[in-house]
Amino acid sequence: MPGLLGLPPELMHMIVEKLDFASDLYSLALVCKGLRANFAEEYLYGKMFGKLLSHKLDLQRLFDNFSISEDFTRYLIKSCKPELLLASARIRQQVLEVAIHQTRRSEDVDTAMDSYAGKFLKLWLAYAREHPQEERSRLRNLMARAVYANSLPFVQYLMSQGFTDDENCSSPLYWAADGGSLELVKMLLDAGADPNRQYAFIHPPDPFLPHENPPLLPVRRAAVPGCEEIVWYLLQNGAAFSTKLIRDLIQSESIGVESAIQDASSKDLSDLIIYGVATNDPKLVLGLWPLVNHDIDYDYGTGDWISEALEKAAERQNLSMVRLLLTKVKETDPSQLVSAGFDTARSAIKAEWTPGLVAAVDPDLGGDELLRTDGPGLLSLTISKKLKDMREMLLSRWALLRNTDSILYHYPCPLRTALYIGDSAIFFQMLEYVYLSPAEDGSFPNPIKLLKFPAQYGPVETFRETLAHVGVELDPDNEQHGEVLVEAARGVQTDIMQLFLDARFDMNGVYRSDLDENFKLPLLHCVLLTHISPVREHSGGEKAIRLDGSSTRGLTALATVMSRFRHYDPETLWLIRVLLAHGADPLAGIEDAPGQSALQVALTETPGRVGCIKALLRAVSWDDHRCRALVSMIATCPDAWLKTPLNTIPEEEAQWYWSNLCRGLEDNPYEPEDDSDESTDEDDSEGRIRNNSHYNRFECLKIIRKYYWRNLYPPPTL
Amino acid sequence: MSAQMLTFLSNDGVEITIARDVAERSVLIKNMLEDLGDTDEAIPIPNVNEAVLRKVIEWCEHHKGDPPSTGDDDDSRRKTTDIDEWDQKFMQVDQEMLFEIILAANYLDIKGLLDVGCKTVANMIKGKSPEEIRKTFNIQNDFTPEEEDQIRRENEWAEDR
Repeated sequence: MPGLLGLPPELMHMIVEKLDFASDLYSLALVCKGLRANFAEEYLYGKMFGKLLSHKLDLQRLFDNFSISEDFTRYLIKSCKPELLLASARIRQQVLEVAIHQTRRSEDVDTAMDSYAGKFLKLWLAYAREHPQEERSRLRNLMARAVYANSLPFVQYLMSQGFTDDENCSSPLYWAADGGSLELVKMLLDAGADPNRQYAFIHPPDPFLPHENPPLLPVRRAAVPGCEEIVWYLLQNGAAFSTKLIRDLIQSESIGVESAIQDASSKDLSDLIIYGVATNDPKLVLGLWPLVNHDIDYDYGTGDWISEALEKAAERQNLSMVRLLLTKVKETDPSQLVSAGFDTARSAIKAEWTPGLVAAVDPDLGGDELLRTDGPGLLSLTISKKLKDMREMLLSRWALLRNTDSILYHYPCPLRTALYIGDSAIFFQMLEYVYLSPAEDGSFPNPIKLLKFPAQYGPVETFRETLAHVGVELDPDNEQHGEVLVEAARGVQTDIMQLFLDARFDMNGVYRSDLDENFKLPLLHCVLLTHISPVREHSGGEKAIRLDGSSTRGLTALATVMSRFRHYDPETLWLIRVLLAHGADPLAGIEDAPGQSALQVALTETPGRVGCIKALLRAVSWDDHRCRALVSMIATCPDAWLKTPLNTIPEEEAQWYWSNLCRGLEDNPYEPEDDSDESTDEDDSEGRIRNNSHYNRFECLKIIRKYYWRNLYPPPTL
Repeated sequence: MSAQMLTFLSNDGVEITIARDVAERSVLIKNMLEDLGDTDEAIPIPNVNEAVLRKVIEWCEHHKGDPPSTGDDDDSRRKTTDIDEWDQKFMQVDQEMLFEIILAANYLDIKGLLDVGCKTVANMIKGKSPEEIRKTFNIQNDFTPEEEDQIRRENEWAEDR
């Protein structure tokens, strides 16, 4: 039997159409579930509103008490005249949000603004402008809301209405970047938005916007996965680049922006890598690695960051990081692997961290090559730091590599280091390891070179043992053996020198040495050149050693001392006194080798050693014609520039001039202008600051002049 | 042509002969005749029984002179539930017949009759409480008191207007 409930929905609706009053509908909805369900809620509400609005119901009361869903709001927008929706402040807000949201679906501005939502928005705008007090905050961040809702058409409309990106406290570009809409970002940038503006939310625009995020630059905001394009676009359009940004990009794994990062200085990036190493952040390191300039340019220090990073990793004993970095170096530029390995090894030794050293010399990471080139140096380091485990490890690897005589020429040489620290056991152990034992024909690669080490450092037993090891007999006629003697003399190994004396070596002979490859030196000179204090005992006692013997360069012992001691120290003065006391002649050499006397060497090669010059002058008699000639030549030199220590001529020219003067050589091509003596004195203090070497020369000149004037009376007219 | 008679067959097997212009108040039948052309056979009306069919024919005969529906809804909406006297009397039937007529009018697509039927039902609802509506239409209240309460709260705004 048909009844009300048996009617099909369309008939039911026809009946409902006939009901004028909401209360009737309401009653109907309350009758039973079937009827209530029959009216889809939206339809029911819509019906009610249609009725209500046409009967001028109390909307205010409805809106204030009714919880309005988003669906329902959409319905309101569709079915109510926009004017009515403006009536209540509460509904106005809600409808505004929903309406903005709705416009995003439209294809262009016109359709959007012609829709129900658009009409409402237009009206709202007009209303807000009429009531700026009431709607100020919403007006202010309207752009941000539109952008946040990703509504391209409404943003366009707003911009056509004169809204801009930089509405106070609002941050459209920021939200555009946040929302991941490249189109919006483009549009805002085209409209002149500032990509580097940092937006501060004094008042968060809306409760539903996530304002827990701190204010950021738009580009930082976009630094999340999937937004590479936006980041790229922002950067292209002038967004500032910062290391912090890169870090965010890397951390968020959106690293498809290599080209954008071109603008970052390589230093920024490498600093960041070092930071990543220090904080043990492999992701950061790996992410940045391809972006950094890996070309090594030693002049400008690029590429140094790798060694810095490796040092950091070794300092922190972070093995995985060390291995990671070395692996990356190997991938990127294998030619840098050796130097990277060396940095690692050195830092590991410094930190006494054996696993780090093991990683550095890992054959897979270029360890063999490293050992071939830098092995001896590393070995030296472990020896001098007395790190047994590391030393043994390197030695065993070294033995495997069968690298032999290069060890002798390496500086620092581990053999030398072992003897230096007095551990001859290691020295002999190394001889075994490095295959310095006789080759098949019984010869050694370079026995003289090897012998020099124990000769210099002793003790005599080690020297003897080494001699026996390499099978060498000391021979006075062998020039090379003389070199070994020089080393013994330099090391003040008197016991070893005695061995040479016993083998009839000449203590006054002239020998070739490592000190000066171009000249042969008397033994004493060699000693003087190496040490000063030990000479105290020797020079006094060994009368047999001639003080005036000269080297093949033509320098006396005194001159040799002068030429070598560039830095002032009391020992030098003491040594000069000892030599002078033993009758050394400061002026010797003037006639045979002009300009090479001790005094001249002191004036030219160690200018400014006023104390030395005084001591030398004191030892010379005024009656000595050589002295008069030299001193008067220098003291009466009329060239004014010598009196003024101003930095007026280039250093080299000044040096050249001064040397010529002191050596009595003629022809000064530099003819300076005349200056009065008074102005010279005034400039004195100034010159002291300007050029110290000139000043020192000036001081020397003053000493010479004083000496000259004191001895010459009456003074001649210049 | 206007005097031509048509025969209809109700679903309970009764033949009813009426004038064609009366029958053409039904859009359904009018369209059918246009499709079929003239026919002497009885036209079956499968959804409607004799009593309802006669009632419908009665309404059609009374309104055969009415102008066809203008299609302009605004006029009819303005006075939604006004029904002319004859129709009111015509609709004084039991509820079963009322809904049968509405369903038949819907099926036969007789706009005027459907409208009158709906108006009648709407008038039966107007101004009544939910309980009275239930009584009128013999409907069981299947809401729990809580549900009822909630609906009441939601709709308070409309209650005492």
